[in-house]
Amino acid sequence: MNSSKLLMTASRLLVPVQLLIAVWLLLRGHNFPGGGFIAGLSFGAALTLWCSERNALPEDLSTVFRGRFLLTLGWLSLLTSTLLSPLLGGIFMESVVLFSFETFLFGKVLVGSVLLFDLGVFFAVGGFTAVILELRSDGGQE
Amino acid sequence: MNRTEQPPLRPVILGFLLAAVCLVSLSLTGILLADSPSTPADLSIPWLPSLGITFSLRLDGFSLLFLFLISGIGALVFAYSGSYIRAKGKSTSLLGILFLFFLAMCGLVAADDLILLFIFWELTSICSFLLIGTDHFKEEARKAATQAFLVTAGGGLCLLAALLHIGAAAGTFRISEILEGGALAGNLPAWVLCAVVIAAATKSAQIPFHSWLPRGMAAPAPVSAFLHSATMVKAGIFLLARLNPLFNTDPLWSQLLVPLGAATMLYGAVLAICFPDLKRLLAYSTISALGVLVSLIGIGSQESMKAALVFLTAHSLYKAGLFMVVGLVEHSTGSRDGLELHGLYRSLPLTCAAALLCGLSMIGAPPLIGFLAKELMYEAKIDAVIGGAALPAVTFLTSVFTVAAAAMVSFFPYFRRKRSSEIPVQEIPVPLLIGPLFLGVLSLAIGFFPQFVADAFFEPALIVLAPETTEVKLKLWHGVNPVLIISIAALLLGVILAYIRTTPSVQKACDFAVGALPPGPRVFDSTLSALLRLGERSLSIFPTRNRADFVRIALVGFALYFGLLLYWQLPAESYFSRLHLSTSLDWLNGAFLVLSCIGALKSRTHLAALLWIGAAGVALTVIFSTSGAPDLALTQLLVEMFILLAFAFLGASLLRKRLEKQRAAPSEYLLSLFASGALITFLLVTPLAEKPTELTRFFGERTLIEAGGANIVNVILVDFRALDTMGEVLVVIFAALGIHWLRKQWKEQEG
Repeated sequence: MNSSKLLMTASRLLVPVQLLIAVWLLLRGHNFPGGGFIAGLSFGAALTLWCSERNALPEDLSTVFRGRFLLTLGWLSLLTSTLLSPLLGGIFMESVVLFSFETFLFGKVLVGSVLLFDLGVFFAVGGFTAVILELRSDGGQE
Repeated sequence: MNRTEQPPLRPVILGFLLAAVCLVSLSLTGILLADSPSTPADLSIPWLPSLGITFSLRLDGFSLLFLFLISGIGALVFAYSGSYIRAKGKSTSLLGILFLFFLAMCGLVAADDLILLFIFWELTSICSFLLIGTDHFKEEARKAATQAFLVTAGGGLCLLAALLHIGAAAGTFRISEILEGGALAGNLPAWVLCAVVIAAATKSAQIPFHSWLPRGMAAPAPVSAFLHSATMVKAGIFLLARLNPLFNTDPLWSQLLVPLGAATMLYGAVLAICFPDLKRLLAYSTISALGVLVSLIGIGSQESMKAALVFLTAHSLYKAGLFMVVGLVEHSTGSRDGLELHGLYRSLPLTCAAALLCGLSMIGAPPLIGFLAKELMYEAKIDAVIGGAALPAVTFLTSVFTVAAAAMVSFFPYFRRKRSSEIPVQEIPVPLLIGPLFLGVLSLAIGFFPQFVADAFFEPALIVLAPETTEVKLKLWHGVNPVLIISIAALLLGVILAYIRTTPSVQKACDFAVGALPPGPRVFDSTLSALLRLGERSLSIFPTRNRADFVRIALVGFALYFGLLLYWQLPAESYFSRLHLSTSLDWLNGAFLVLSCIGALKSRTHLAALLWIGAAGVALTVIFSTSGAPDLALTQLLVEMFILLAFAFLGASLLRKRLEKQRAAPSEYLLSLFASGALITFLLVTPLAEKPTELTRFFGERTLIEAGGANIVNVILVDFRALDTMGEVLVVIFAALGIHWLRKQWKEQEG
């Protein structure tokens, strides 16, 4: 693969920033523009950039970034977010806020079913990207 | 890791662990039964309160009897399958699916909500599909699994329709409330009754839906023992017995069930002895037993319900045992041909003992539980109001053939002599013997303590099914009465029949019958492939040449459909006047958008087209952000970025390729583009120009107060409309997991 020096160097800087932006978008999503989907897109874009420059697998960046693992995390978060309320004596899929805290960057962050739901979407989108990246690097290595 | 010749111990340990779980469930069931059999245990959690659906379980005597059988046989099956997997080198995931099935089956018999019942019902069908397809690399296993699933799931759809109607008519989905009032009894339309019967007939393999069950014998032995004899196929019986109070006042109920059951029981019993393959033989004899149960429920008297309960228990015990035995014999000798095997009693003495005990229970020999069941069954059939003399006659014939089948499965392989040399056998691990031996001994033991079992299990269950019951008497010896004489006659005739079965001419006739008679799988396969061909044909009426043509057809279809819809419901006033492209920025953006679209159309390479489309996306982003939708703008921008990155990553070589020339006439494209473009403009203008609707106000008012979020779009997505979002996300997740597994398999095949 012919990778340019410029992009290689840039990606070393860009990828951490993109990952941070993803987390930022995720946490502020309930009150400001943001949310699980675009945070997941940002996360996926970071993975794609990193992998395409090095012709590598997402798991080379971190073992956590394996497609199957991220997807599993995704549906588990979704499931937990729906079951949180019945576990606390409420109704299926009802919104529950466990606690909240005020932050400088993200505004008020509510920890509860909604955050879990956003996390599920985030991991699903990121996991999907990782699976596709893994698929392609198979063909590349042959 | 010890990777020498010895297969891993992991499945065995896991099997015993799961068996222990079943034992816990068994003892809990036992405690509940002993504690308060008359007052059912209740558990109810609101699930979807707006639809009146609850997650409610209820354990009355009838459910407990089923739970006891499921847990008890489950424990033995799990203990058996661990060693079976180890001996056969199968995947451990078999245990996981079996356990999922166990949970689903427990849920099915305990459910007190119609919708919950349906969910568990379908879950057992799915588990059955996965388990029959354990050896999915074999084509026959795949086909068998598909047929079993399509037939039982088709019945499931009938069940859903019926349950929804019952729920709507009763005003509640709680089964206990529906049955308690008795207001619905006899007031349901005939189609509901028929739908319930079809659902039960597909699940419990009644004629003409039966052929999935013998075909499902492609599954490993523990699966056949657990699902396809002892538990899952009894789900249909469970349903019929559970809903019996709703329908039994309708004469149609017994007019349908009794002939259905009678035909099935005779057909199954006759075909059973045609098959020398012992697993097939057992499958057909299971069909026959299910027919007996259906006809007993159809008769509907207290006596017949009692007979059904005892027969069901007896059958579960002996049939599960026999399936396990056949699995052992196959493992040990490599064959399961009942006429080929011989003289095994010396080499496999314990297996032979288990087979004999279960076989004796099957033919109804005293003092086993099978004898009790058969006597009760005869009494119920003779006393039945419906059917006259035909019903006992059919039952008699069925018994004769059942005796012959039992001889073929549990006598011939062990005691027949042949001139040919002795069959070489492989040693059977001891844990594999626990299950069948225990079931055989239990069948015998119950015969000695019938009254104890009747008090503990059958009485609480019968009180649920026939409320007028006060006590259940069960005894071995009824004195010399017509029933005893009939069953002795059936026994003798059956033995003669079994003897005749071994003669060469009858064998030839049977082989011919096997080749010609059961056309079920063939009919199913050809119907399925005809349907698939029809789908392909219907696609070929479109003159498609490439992807662009597909898009064109889709656009025209879309324009036609919505155009007609709009034509019929045309809004009164025109909205075009309200269009406001007021600021100069809007005009600038619009011009940029049109320009980039033209650029995309004119570009000669993929890369150029992609960049132009990206430019159009940026223009859209600006429009979104200026008209107060920062969320949409952000999403649009990220999606554009992502698409560009993905293309750059996936198709670096593709991007430099020239776009291929379109072969269709430009006028065709212009027409479709114009039609759909005009329509979309119209659709967009209509709602955009409207004043804030009620929905807008609703979300505006409640977002912050009820959901605690200031971002309305996000709150709608993750809270108000969370179910939609979750469906979409799950589709993404499972599609990706599918890709992942396909890739993994592909990699393994490549080496």
